[in-house]
Amino acid sequence: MKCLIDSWTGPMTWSGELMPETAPLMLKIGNKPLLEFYLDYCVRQHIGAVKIILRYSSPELRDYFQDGGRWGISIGYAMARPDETLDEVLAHNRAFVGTEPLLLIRGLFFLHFGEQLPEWQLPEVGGQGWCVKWEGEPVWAAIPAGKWPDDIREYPFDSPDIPLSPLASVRDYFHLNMRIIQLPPRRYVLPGYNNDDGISLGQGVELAHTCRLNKPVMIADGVHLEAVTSIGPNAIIGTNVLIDRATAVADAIVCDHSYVGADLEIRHKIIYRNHLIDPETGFSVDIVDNFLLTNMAEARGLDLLTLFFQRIPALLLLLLLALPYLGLRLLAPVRTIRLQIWKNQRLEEMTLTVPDPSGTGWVDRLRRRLCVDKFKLLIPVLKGQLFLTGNRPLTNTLANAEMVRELKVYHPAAFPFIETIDREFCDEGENNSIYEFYYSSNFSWLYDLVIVGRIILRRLWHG
Amino acid sequence: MKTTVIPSGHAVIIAVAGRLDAASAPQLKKEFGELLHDNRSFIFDLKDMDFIDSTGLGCIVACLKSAVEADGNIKLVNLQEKPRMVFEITRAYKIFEIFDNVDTAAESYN
Repeated sequence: MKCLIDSWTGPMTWSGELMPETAPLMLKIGNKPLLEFYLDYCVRQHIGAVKIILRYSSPELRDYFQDGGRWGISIGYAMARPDETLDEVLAHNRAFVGTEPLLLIRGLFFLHFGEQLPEWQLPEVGGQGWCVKWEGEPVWAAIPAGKWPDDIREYPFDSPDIPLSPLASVRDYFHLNMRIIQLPPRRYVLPGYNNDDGISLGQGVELAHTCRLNKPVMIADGVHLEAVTSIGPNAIIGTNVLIDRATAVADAIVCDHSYVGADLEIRHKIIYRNHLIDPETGFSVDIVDNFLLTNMAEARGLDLLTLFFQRIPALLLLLLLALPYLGLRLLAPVRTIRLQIWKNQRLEEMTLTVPDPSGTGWVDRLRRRLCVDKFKLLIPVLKGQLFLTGNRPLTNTLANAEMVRELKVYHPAAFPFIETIDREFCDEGENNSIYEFYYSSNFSWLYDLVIVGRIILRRLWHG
Repeated sequence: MKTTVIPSGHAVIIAVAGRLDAASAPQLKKEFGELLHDNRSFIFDLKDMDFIDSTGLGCIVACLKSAVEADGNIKLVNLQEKPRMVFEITRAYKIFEIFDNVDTAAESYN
């Protein structure tokens, strides 16, 4: 027997709306991807080959499941258009099935094979097979060997009583998770977890000694719980999560890669990175405030990349410009002005000392040509207060606050992208915002280095 | 953010509309400080406030603190769904009296 898993979700669109960065088949049920439950079941059914039909790009899914060696089965992948019909999917994958019976799995459903019915077996795929439908669409079906249907909807399958729970809404998803965590036999806990009397801990979990765990709780790998946190009862914490001090999490799910701020009370909620979701109403708040919730992956990645692509080049430039800076300073003093700027998208402010752009003497012009005027700005870059390349540091006006909030990223920088644009295309007013939006949508760490190079060359050439 | 001040019987109603965040919080704090010279009982009508962040919340808490120190009070009305979730997770709902309409909040001052 073989298995075809179609990533079709049909009308179950909630996961894409509320958890857009997670492929629906990677939704975690008790910290385990939904697809892994399907594979576990395939293993129990002695299914040796599984083909996963992806209707969306998901490198995360492929990385996690790879060729299926971890489960002792062979996994292959195929792509399908999002609107591809079931008939087309079956036709395109007929060669995979060959002459063997086929188990077809579609949609977001949870099969309760490990609870009341631990030894539950699929109905025999004899005779004409069987099919379970949901809202008129086949979702789980078994096609006997050599009886390939012309139209699976018309095929007179039986409908066996299969314990499937549809994940038709975020409410279903939440309550299924809460149910799984309370199950006494803990059949669904991931291998590698310590599973002790209602408290399941993954690897690399760091708990402050004043942290309190109220069972049942399930905490995945790489979780850090700060002092005086209270977790549970009924809390599921995903991988790479930081819960800050004095925060309580109960009857809640905190998904992977989330930071939960200090002194918060998360009850009956789902935290998905910086999204706060009410499971009962499906309301989702996108929190832009990094003190409350934020995305851990971004925060971690930034530091390392900042070191290599921002601070090290800044240090080299600082050393390179030190002599010209000191030499020109002997000829004429450096005139500066102080600006109050927005430091980040949380709208924190900082004072920045910048060279006075009104200087017109030949020493001032030479300073600009050699980028010596950037010398003092490189120090806050090294301190991590400013970026080497990025957006123009925006002064702390209300209009700029609006812009800062709307930008995808705001990196106030010593070498802003706008300096690569010809002056004739720049205005003094807000029309320049287009360049800030362009940068924030297209920035990459390598592109940043190109921008620095361009600015230096433009200044050398044009002054 | 836009604020509208409506004197009403025993209390002053301050209707807050739009985003209450780091950029707009100082404005609310300043306006509230001026009103606190002559008034003690306030109702913040949050019907049209569609967003609040920690600075905005801190501003409302600071207003409450100033009001209580002057023997006054602030009551909140018409808290919308999304800001309500922020009030929930920050436990701010524990320090405010929250009503679902202006009339009952005003009556509570009588």
